[in-house]
Amino acid sequence: MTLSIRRLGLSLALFLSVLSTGCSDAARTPLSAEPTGPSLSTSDMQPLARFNKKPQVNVAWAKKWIGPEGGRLDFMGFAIEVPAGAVSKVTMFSIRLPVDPNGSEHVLAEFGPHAVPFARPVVIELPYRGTSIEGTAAPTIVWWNEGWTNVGATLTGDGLRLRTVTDHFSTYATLDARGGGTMLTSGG
Amino acid sequence: MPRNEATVEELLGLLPDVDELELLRLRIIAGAVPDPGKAWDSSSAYATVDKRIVSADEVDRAVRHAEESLRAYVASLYEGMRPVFHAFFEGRGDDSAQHLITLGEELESGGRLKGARQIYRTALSLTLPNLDKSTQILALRRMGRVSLSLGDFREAGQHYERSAQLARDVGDMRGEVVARTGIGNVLVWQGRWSDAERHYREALALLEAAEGAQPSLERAQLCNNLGNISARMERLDESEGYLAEALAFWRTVSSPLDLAVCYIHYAHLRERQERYDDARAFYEQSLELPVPPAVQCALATDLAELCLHDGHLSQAEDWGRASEEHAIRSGSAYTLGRMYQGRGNIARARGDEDGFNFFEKALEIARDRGYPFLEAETLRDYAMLRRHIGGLEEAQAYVERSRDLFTQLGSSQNVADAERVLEEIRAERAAEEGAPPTPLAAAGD
Repeated sequence: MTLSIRRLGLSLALFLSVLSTGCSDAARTPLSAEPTGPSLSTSDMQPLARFNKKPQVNVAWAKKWIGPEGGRLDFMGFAIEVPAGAVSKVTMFSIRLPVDPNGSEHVLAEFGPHAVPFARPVVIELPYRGTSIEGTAAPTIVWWNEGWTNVGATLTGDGLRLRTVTDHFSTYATLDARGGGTMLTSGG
Repeated sequence: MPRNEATVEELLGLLPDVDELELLRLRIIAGAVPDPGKAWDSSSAYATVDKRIVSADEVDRAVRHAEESLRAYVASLYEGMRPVFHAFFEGRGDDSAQHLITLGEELESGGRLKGARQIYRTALSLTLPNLDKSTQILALRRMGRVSLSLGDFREAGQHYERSAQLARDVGDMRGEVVARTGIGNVLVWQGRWSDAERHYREALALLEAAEGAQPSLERAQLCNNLGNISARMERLDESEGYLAEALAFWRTVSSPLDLAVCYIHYAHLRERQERYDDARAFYEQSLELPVPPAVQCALATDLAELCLHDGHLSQAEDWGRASEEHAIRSGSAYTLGRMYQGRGNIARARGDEDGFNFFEKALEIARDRGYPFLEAETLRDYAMLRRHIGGLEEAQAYVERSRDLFTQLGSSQNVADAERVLEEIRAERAAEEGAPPTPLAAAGD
């Protein structure tokens, strides 16, 4: 089955209900509009970590204006930490969670802004404690690139979240990367 | 004082570093048994082979077997050279190259990767003046394959690329498909899965343009590889489809190695689907196939990890030891080193700090024998263990060295990963020392 057929057939719209929170500074020029997330199928989400207790997501989107001095946005256990000098102008950073009946059980978020290159990598954090991958051998963060790509992760000092650095924003999630197995290829 | 036994470490200390004694080195290792006097030691499970003991009688047997094996190898090497000269004197230069490639394949299957590479290189140089490019296309692919096995990705990629270009120039569609499959394989090992997938798909499109969806060896191998890459990118339905098509082919055409690879990829997929009993069943089917010890070693390593997941620690240790036996039987120092790296990771996953023994052993082999990719991967994994136990300074040094090696090897994804880990370690060290962290640097800088 090709990806396109599969995704047309099973596509499940995420990120349906959106409310905004966090602080904003209307006096400054925004660099980013509200993020729009990819549509992920149920099978796309199947390998992702789940919250042990499904969170009550009433507010699905947080945003914060962060400038060249850096800053941090925290939302429902997810976080963005922007180092000084990562952006040259005040930029709207956002974290958007799925709120549909199935997507919200997964440790999954869309980080924004999209298509804004960072001069320095930005840290993102996703919940770990209280999720299905807590205590597993290889918990990690993945990003969606027509498939989940492992970007690696480390535990935060308090053991609550997984964190990694990135130079671009997209949809990120967590999973247990164990089971990759020994690499073998055929032919060639 | 006379003695009846000695540790492997002591005996290897008696062996000069002469290539012709490599077989004896492996035979001594193969004849070693766990030291019963250390059975009480809680760390004995993590002891590498150099802590095992070998009796004097066993050493005698090892010398005899190694000598016989070396004689047999030398005889086959010289035997393999006869048709090379015959063909040359009969004016069939291309056949000389073909015979050399056959000889190289024998060495390669026996784990003599560097020797095989030298032979393929000679074959390649013989083919350069020939108008018929088919042997050159094959020699380039063999150079690519053995370079990939040695972890020399840049060279492997260059040879496969050249082979694909030549094949395209002379209209050899099948040759181009196989070379493109090889390019994809190199990219898989570099962790560049999207790029690998693109090459595999292009190769598949070439095949389909020429012969539709007709089953063929090349198509089934591509399905094996696409099944693997789809699963690693977590597209599990797609993986299922590719592997089903591949398996249907391998059930009608005898290729035990390809069938084993297909079963192992199925097992990996089932693990991702959390269907662990099914995964075990696929591994067990692979075990029944006549595959090289290096693949058996990989299988045992995966089974050890699966047992670990199931909480069957003693079984995991049994499979760990089995992987060691297969690695020794393979006669390949590279496989042995790879096995130690895997056992180190299993120990690390269990939180066993004693796992450093395995990483040290893998590093020793990688450095002594010149396997830079194995060294880079081991350093990276070892650093994670060091970091876990608070050795941040050492961890940083290990990751820096692995990054440099990955850079030399052209493994860009690994370089980027190493840069990211380095930034994290630097930040952790800065936090420990109470100083503000250094600014984050762009990955790949």
